[in-house]
Amino acid sequence: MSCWTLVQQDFLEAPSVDALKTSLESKNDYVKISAMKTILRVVINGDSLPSILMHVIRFVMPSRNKELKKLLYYYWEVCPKYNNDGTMKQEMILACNSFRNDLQHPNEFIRGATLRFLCKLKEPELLDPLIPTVRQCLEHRHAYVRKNAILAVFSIYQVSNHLIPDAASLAEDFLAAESEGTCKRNALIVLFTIDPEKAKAWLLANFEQIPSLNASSLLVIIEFIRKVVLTKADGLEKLRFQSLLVSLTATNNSSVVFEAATSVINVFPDAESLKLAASRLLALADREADNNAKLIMLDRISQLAARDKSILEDLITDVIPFLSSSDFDVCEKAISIIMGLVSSRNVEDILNHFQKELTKSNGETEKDDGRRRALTKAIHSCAINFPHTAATAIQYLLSHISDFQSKSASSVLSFIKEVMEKFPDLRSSNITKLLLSLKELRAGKIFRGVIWIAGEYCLTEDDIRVAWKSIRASLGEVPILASEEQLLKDVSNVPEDDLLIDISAPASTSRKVLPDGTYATESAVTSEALSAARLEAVKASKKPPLRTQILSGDYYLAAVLASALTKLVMRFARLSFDKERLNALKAEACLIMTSIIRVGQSKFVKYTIDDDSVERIMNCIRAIYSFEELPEFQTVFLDDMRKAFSSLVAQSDKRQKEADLLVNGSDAVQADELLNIRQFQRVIEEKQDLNFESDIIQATNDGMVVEDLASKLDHIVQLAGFTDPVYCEAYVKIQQFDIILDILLVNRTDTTLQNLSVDLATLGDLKVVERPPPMNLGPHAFKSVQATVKVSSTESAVIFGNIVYGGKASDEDKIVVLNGIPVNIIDYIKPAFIPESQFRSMWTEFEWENKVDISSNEDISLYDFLHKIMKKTNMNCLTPDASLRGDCGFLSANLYACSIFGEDALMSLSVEKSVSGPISGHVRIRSKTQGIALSLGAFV
Amino acid sequence: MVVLAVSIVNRGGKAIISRQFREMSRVRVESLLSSFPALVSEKSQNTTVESDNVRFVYQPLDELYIVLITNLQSNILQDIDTLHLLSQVVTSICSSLEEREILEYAFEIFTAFDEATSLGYRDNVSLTQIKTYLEMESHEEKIQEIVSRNKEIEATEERKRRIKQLELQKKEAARRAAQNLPSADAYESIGYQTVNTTFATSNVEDESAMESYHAAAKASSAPKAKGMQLGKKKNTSLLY
Repeated sequence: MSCWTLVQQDFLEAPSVDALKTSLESKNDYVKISAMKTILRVVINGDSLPSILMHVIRFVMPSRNKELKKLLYYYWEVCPKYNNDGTMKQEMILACNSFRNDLQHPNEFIRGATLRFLCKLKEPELLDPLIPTVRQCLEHRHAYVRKNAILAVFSIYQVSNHLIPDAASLAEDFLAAESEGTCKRNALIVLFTIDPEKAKAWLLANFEQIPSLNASSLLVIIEFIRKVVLTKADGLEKLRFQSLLVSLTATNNSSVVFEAATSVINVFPDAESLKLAASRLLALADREADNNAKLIMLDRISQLAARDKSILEDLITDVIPFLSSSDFDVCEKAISIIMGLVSSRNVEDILNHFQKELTKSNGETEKDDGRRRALTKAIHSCAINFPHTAATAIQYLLSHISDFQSKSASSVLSFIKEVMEKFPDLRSSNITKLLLSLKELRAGKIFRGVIWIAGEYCLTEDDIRVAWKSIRASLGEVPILASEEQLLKDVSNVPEDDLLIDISAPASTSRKVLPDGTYATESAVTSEALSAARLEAVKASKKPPLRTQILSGDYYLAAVLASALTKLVMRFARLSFDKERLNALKAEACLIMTSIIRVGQSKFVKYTIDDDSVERIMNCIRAIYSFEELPEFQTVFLDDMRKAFSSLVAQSDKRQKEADLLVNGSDAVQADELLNIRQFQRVIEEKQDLNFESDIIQATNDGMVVEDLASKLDHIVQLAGFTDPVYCEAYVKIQQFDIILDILLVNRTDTTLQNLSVDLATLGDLKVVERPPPMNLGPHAFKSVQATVKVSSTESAVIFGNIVYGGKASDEDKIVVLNGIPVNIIDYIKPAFIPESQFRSMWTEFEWENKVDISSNEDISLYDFLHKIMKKTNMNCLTPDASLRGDCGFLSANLYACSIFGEDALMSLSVEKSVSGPISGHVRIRSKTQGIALSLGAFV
Repeated sequence: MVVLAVSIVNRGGKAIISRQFREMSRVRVESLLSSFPALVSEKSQNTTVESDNVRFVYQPLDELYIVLITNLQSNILQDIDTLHLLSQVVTSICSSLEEREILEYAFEIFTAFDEATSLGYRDNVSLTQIKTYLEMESHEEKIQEIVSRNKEIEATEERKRRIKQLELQKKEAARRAAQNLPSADAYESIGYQTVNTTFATSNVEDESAMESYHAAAKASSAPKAKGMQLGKKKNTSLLY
């Protein structure tokens, strides 16, 4: 069923047919117009109103009102034209005569509108009598009539080529005589589609005049050339068409340049043309103000780069200006193109440009931060893939690390960590540079990263010494508590006036009686107020950055620092034989750590230190004391931690390689792959041709998928019993957004069931779009009908309904109630993957949460339990596998899925298993809409 | 290369109106449009999104979107230009961009969409030209009406002249009858024939005039007349 028009129903109850008929009989044109609009809305939304047709013919068709005429044409588009037995309705003959009269109407706009309506008509019986008049319209004075006439010829030819056998000749003659732009364009469309051979001959005959045509004609010609070159042109013609397309990329019209360049890129494989077309496309993207256009043009360049990157290496300089675009998406696309084109010859220039852009993007907005992250990631990839540039890249990043915001800096730090892991030669110089920046850092996250790197990768005595000095410089004087107390004492010696105490608010007042009998008032500032003021002064004084962080309550950083100090001491013990130095380091490390604990418990800090941090730091202190007698401490601190990080990096690499393999998999040539013989080039080219045609076909079709019969049987739902007068079963098929029910109806009685109809209703967010028409079932006959239900959002729902039919008496209706059809939400859920950071931001963002308690007696491991839930809910586990292995008593994981409507579903699973066996815990599901959260929860 | 459909949807993805230029089923159109809001990102500054098979080029209209559905290989520059033109058209037709207003003027908007494209191909028209097309003012039609009115006036005058002639003939016949009794039969016979001919001509012309210019006034008889015409023409068609 074709649908040209779609209007939403807007009234609660449709007017009755009699009321509409009465309105149509009115003398007032406005009443008629209003009634016609209502009729059109009703018919478009499914009710065909068969009895209204004659009234429209009698009272609306003779009208001279132009608005009514236009509405009438919409009515002819959508009204039912056939009887139930398949023959044309008698009334359509009246309509056909009306069409002919309008085709000869003196008003050229009415003629044009009628011709445009004929393009929508699919019935040969109606079109045949009108063809002579349509031919006459091809020669009408007004271009408006002519342009619609040629399209009408085209549509009639497509309905049946016997109606106008000479359509191609008509179009050719039309082209020869025509001078108006749109008419010419339409004639070209007709000729190119109906008769490609004639069209090619016309092109070659008029080759010299083609560049002077208007833009819309050129677009059609380019499209035709693209098709014909792929299939039918010989070598010489190809060359001529190629030179034409290349010259068209130099015209003034942006659309023509885009179309010509894109066609050259897709059709002609030689390097020179591709380079020229690509550079023209980049110049056009640079000139065009619309970011949408830029994105799509860069996308074309990106596809070309994926196909053949050597051609575009020279054009990198043309892509680089897009890095400065104010639109983040354009910048990101440019980065991805450049990353695809990078090679050992140009990587240094590219890095320079990336670094310049990084310096320029100093803004504080979220988009600037995103841009910096993208640039950092690009620099990261360049450095990893081209080791000789890693030194330059990392030097630059280290020089500017203190300028970054938290988010950008964390990606820089992960890059630095990876470089440390992969390039041992660069470790010493990088560490020196990194530690120099320790004085300027401000964010706790960056501190943690830097100190961790220092603890992990200072592998020589000199490095350890430099690291130690830097940490001490950033931490300030130790012990911390004693220093702070000393500072408090110093502040105490300052005269009271300098402390800015508010003297006008005395803390206490007492009244005395003097010996001579008069009263006196005495005021004094209490020591508590004074002490508080002095403490605030101590807190506000300037301190080294690391000390500031610790006093602000960042005990996570303190724990990392303790761990790093422990590693430094242990490694020094391995490398050096200087006992005195080692003992001094030990003592100093312990002093620092104990100072942190004591100051964390004092009044000088913003928050008191927590138990976990204390325990961690105490463990480090104990390790320092004991590691010489217990070698296991050294193994844990120096070797196992390194292995954990190495395996993380390796896992990330593996995932990246798999992703790359998916992208480049089609380029891989297997050993047993067939050789490409030139004689068979035509077959390959025809495959390319299908891309353009199937693109439009795919866009307009519903994406029917061929299914196996075996899987088909799984979806049959029985709706009525065998003992019912009508047996009914439905095959439930789920396509993109729809549920299609193929319903089989069997008449199990000896009488004819008249006016049998299937009424479907839905519960939930579903909507019946196409309902089966009423029918008659003969004795023991069966019939297959189809109904379509549209799904608006992801939610479990039920479809239910009745079968209603008439008996022998006309007032007797019988009903068979059908079973409900449950709609499974899992059919819409697809596993998907997102980074952990995105999961967290979505988790805080989404409103709906469903918490489900878990209590299970199954005797399986927690790992298997997790997989069972994943299988049941079609969700993907985001937590890495390494975190889930092992025989731990509890498990925590994050799951993610995405519905085919683009809705996200997040799940957090926490379960534990006790020794006696039952698994307990809970699952939390979050989503943007309530439906997903509730429905998924029901499955857990 | 072609525009598949133009739609106006609300933020929830419900299609308020939609006009398709290629054959698409209603279910398909509604599916595409219902998936459209999920693709639109609030963070992005761009106004195109792509799904598996189609590309949406959209523009906000207050609380609504006007959406162009195209295939992936379509010319983005031309599509953006088309979208701007159609947005201007909708804005000029509806004074306020509310759902109810758009439903009220749905068919005017459809006509404007049809004027801007042919089978999905963008016509080279401007907003002013579209307005002219919508008004359907025709110079030739006015000339034709003037010609028809003049013919009607001439027919009326002709009828009056013939009536006068008839009266004169009647008087003359009466006079001759009074004077020449022996020749009375011959004269009466001639006068009778003339009178019959005149009446027949007058009836035919009168009927033609009434049918041509006051068809609406005689609604009850119009189907009959058209029925007769159709019968004749159909017979002709069959013979041919």
